[in-house]
Amino acid sequence: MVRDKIGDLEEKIFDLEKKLESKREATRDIANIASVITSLLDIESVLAAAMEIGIRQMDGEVGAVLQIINDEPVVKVSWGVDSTILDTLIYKDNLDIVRYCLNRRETVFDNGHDGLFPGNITVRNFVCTPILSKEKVIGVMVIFNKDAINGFVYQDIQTLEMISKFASVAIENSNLLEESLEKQKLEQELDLARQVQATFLPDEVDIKGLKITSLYIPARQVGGDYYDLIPLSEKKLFFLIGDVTSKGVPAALVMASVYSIIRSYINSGETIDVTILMQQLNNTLCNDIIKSHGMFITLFMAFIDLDSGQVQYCNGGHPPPFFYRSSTTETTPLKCGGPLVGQFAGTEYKAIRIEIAPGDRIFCYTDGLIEAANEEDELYGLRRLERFFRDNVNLDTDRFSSDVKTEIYNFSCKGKAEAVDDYTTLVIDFTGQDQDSETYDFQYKSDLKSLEHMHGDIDTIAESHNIAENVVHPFRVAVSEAVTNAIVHAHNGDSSKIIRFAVDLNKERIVAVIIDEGPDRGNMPVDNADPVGHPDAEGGRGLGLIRRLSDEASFTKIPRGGMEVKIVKNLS
Amino acid sequence: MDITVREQGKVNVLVLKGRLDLANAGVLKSTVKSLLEQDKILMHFNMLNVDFINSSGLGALVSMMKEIRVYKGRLTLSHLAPYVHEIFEITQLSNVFEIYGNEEEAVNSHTPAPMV
Repeated sequence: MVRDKIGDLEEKIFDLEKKLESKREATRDIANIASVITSLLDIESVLAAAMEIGIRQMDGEVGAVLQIINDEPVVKVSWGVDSTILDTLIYKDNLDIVRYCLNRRETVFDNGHDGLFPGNITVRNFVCTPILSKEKVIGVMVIFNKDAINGFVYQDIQTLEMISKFASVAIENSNLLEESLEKQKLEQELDLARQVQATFLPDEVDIKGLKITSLYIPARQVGGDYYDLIPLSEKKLFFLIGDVTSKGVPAALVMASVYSIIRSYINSGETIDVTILMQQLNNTLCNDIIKSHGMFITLFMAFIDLDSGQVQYCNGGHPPPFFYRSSTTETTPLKCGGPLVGQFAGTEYKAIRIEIAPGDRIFCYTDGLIEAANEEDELYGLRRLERFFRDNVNLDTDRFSSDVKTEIYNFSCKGKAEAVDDYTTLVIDFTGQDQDSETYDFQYKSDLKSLEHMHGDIDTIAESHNIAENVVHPFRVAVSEAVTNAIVHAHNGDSSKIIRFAVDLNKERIVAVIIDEGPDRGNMPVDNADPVGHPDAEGGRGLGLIRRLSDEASFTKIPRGGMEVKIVKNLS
Repeated sequence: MDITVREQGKVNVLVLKGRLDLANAGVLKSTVKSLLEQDKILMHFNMLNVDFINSSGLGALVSMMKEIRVYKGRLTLSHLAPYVHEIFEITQLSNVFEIYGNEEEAVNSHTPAPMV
């Protein structure tokens, strides 16, 4: 009895071990399947692997994997059956197996019997399962003729559904990868366009009698804004501001056209007639690709001639710049011109000349500025801009531009409204020809000899401009303090470093800028620097002397390290 | 900087010429040092021809004055050019140094007047 029971138990244990082992094997298989399928990166290979594994695991005879393309199942991998056979296997509801499965969106299997279908192929049994991705059927797997008496069992269904799930994950991955590659490619293209665009933006121009500040705020994408400043002589400047009605690569291409048309026109002659230039540009762009692509550009261009004191301008459909005339304190919009450029071939544009005088200002912008929106979707608008312009016309061009930026930033809820397109502004002040203004730029090696050079250079400037000794002396002491500080404190005796000493002189004042190369000396106690130290102290009077002897002094840290000391001394 | 040293009785008169700044302070300091080491401790700087001084020059003067005090000596200055004097004023070192209008007064101050 006991022996029998032990025998039974032994048998049971043996059975359990066998089951456990087969379970382990299945788990190992599943892990393998998962790792094989999900490591593949393109759909074709995923489907092929799913087919092969499915057939092997099921002990099937033939099978196929189909992908749903345009709502139709298309055979992607076939293992002994093709679509003509599959189409003839009408199963139920007048549908073939695949479409029947697609309809039900679940696994269908049948262990029927010989002659399940008529025709050449003998179908003894089959299992068909959909491949789902995000609730959407993206494919179907079908396997026929399992070589077993019972046909497909419940475990087979489970395994096949598992394979189908892995396949679906792999397909999703591969889609994501494709998308991200696509995105990456797009990013690269945009990056290239951005670089191309950046090369069109002009360098700063330095023309006596003009003060120009540009502000270019690109959107995240490559914007359609464009401006150019082309000095033609010491007293002549051509400038333009424009906005292409598209972004990205096409916009950059249009800009490239405009850039080259304008340069070649300017190079061909000495005088500029903006009417002719605008017409040429319009006609060329009309014949160009841009019209056929429904693109156009709004463009304001002007030619400043300080000799004649006139500006000739032509406005091709661009938001009219503001012109502020200081003698009357009136602001007028510069509207004269014609329609937007690149759409109507043969258009005759008009240009007009305006008289300019010192104190006048032209303010150009692109529509991104007035179309900046706040959280209530209210646009910044022309009226606000005009008021802002009038209220701040006395600010210098740099300050005005940075205040415009702040104003728009604040209006668009600190950039939160996300509705700020790219925008560009160009502020041009007519400052008058300051004949007496002169600048000097010296560079010294950072050693004690440079003090000698500094004195010599100050002597030269003072003599050639007849500066009174009661101005030169305090100026000289203040500058010497700054230069000494640079040698001793900033450069710590390192004579390989350079000290820059620039002087700007006009009728009213002499300005020195002393720049060292650092390193950063931290915050200097400039504001409360006192020239009066302890009687026994040997140092610490320099900063105080600079402050006391100058009419204005500032100490500004330079981002790359180093300090810029500015010393202003009034001449009277 | 040019330095001429002459003796007026017990007083060593240094006639300075040029700028008194970081580049020139060293020469003056070493001249003073060597005089002190010879026990010549009464000093006068005639600054008639010093046309420039800044905080480095002032620092050197303060340092020399302290050194002379260590030797129980004395330092006087004279003939400060107006712009140089202004720098002494601003830094209030005009109250710290003994500044005379001319060299004679200064030298005499080193020699106590005979009791009458």
